[in-house]
Amino acid sequence: MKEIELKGLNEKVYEHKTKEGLRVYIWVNNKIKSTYMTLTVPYGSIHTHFKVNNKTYKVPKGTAHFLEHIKFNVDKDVTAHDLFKKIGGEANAFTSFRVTSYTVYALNNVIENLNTLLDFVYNPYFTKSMVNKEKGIIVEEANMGIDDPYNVSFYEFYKQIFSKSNFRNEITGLPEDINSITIDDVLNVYEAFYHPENMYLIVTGNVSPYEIVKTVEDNLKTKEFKEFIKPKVIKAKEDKMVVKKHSSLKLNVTSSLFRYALKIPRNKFKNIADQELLIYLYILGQMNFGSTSNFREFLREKELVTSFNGKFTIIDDYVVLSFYALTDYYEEVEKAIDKQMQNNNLDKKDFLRKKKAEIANLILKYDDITEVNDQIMSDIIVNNHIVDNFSELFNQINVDKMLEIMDIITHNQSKATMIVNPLK
Amino acid sequence: MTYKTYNCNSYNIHTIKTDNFKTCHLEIVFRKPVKKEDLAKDALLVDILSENNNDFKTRQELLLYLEDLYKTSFYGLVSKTGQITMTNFILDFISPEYIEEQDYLEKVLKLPFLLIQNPNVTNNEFDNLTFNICQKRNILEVKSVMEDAFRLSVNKTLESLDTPSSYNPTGTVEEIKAITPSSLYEHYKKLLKENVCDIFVIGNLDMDYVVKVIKESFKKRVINKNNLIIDVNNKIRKKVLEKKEPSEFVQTNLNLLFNVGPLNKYERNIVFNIFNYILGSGGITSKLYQEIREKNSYCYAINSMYLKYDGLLLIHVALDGKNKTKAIHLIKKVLRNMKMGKFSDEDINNAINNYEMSLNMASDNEISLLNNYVFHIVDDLPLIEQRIELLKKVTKEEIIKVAKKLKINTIFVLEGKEQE
Repeated sequence: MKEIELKGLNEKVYEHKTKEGLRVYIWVNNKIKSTYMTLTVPYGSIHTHFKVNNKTYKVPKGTAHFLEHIKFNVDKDVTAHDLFKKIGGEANAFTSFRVTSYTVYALNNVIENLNTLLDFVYNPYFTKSMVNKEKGIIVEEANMGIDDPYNVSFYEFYKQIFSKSNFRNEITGLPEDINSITIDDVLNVYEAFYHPENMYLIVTGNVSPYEIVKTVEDNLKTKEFKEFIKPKVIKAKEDKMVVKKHSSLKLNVTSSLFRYALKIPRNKFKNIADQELLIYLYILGQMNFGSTSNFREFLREKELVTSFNGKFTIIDDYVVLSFYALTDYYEEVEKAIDKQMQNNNLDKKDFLRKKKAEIANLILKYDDITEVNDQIMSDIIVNNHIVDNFSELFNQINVDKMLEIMDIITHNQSKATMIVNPLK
Repeated sequence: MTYKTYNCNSYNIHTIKTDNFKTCHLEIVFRKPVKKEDLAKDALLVDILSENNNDFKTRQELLLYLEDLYKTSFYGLVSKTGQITMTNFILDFISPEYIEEQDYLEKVLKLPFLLIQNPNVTNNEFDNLTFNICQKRNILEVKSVMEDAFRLSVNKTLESLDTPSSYNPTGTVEEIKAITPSSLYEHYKKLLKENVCDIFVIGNLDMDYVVKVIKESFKKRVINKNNLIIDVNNKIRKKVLEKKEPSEFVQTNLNLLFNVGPLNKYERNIVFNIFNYILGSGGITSKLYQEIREKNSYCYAINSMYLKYDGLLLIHVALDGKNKTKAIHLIKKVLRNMKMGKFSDEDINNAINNYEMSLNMASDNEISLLNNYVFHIVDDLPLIEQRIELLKKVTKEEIIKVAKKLKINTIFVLEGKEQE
């Protein structure tokens, strides 16, 4: 077992790879009573088209989420929830664009809970009747999303930004997608992706790392796994430009909602790893558009918005800078964002203050079993390994590189805006 | 973990010393009897006092100061708990053991009192720009209920009770619009005069020092007697009220509201929670989930919410309108079964174990831990450890007894378009 020291944070994470290939990450906190564990497969809603052994598979939108639901069936009339209830575990799961994760909170019986988690996820029990039964439930879940105007406008906006990328599609799928999913779709995905070699287990809380690793080793030994052949996910080639520059929608909102995004090809940012780029984008966003920025004070002084948020991130092969505002003056807000984009602020004092605050926040994350688990998962999703030098990365941020990044954004962007107005 | 209370005449400081967390948490809690006509002002006041003050004239100045204090966060909340209004000012900050600056803790502790006691006021009225921003935001918050089928349906279900349970905790749009910068300042002056006040602090801190700084910083001169009654008396209806309204939503939102009680302290704090866990708050293995979702696929989620201080239980489900009548029938059937004791010892043990787990998990989170302590002071709620001991003794007979105390009050349907 490897011990990874997290530099500058006085924390460590244990890492181990089992014979079957499952990566196990453990963070220990003996001051608390509970434990949180997540078993994650890098298979999310965007992975609808893939190839295994020269055979190509196409599954309906929403298949990852559908599989997550029915995975909880362990036998006829028995669900994983029934098993966890008996040993005092609280099980759940979530599907995102990129991953599906099965989660358990436990207080006592941590080892039994861990065994149950591994047992139910690696139990290939699927029937046609469970597929049919679950459709009604998931359609109602999708309808809840359709009744949320912010959710609807989010996906409509992504459809406006992305022409082909699967990020434009609802994670649950729409009712017609859900109704078209078959047991074969589910089995094809399960067999291709749900293999220990393709997955990782993260355990955070009051545990002994050696006991956890031994339990996982002993458990997996009892199961049979085929040789893992890494599936090749097939991605459609995304257009450089947004699909539509401006759109307007009418939804059940009580205040007009404005969305704004810039799409920049990721390959324009050369010689910089994703993690480093994300840190630069974050600081850039905070300094120029964050709650302490002059830009936000301008919006407040002019009473232009009642709410404003921004997110700078990497989606597929693109960097996307997006904003969201509740406003009756969207044209003014758009002009203000455009102007700020041209005159990005790099006040040195502010720069240092932000760095100091962010490093302090990194320390704070290591206080909560859920947040630490999320952080490790995020590290793996972005980097495929634990980032042990976050505070160094923050300390290494420099103005020259920041200016370079800003210059790339200015010269390579494609812009999309959307206004959502109330129905009445 | 050490609990200690310091009596400071016009307020008390309650401290929980623990080295389990890297952060610290402070809450200033004001309490007074709920007044319908005050709710909009209470909500707007909390917002404006959290926005800026006389020392930090703009939001940006205040936020930069908070960022300098290692991203300390300060915010206010108003809530309606039974028939009292609680106004909380909350401060989250890094434990000083991780900070080298000597005056960090003093600066942090003084800040909330500075913000509350030195508002951005000139000529007896709040700064107009700040007022406008907050007023607009609060109006939007009240209006936004129309976007949220769950909140809208719950409000509509409760509104016919005509007791504090039906009041909107943020007031109405008209009430917010009627407030002026000067009338809000008049209302502000009552905050320190008319409220019972308690301050709660949790963290790895020298609590004697914390109390010393708070005493120096907080000058509350009026002593308010703590004779607040928290429970609302919602009368049982002779005939069930059945209401429906059309909506723009796809799904139909169905609510069944029940009167609960009367319950003694043990029943309301312990037994009813176990009953409700088995019935519908215990997630996918609860009786309602099993019947409505797992056996019939009518919904994604169904929940039963215990509104303890209102003496009410609310069951909510969002579904296809065509299944509404069948769902009502099944919900009533599940309740009948609970009243007839048609649940197993295993159901009870699972509920007790899982409820114990959620209480223990709450003690792993300092905000949950502190909230439990707040209600220990406000409502004499037993501490987590005491509740765990009590819940282990719950029997089937006791659960059946509280189940039988449910009386249906209202069935409300917010009709969706799915059935068309």
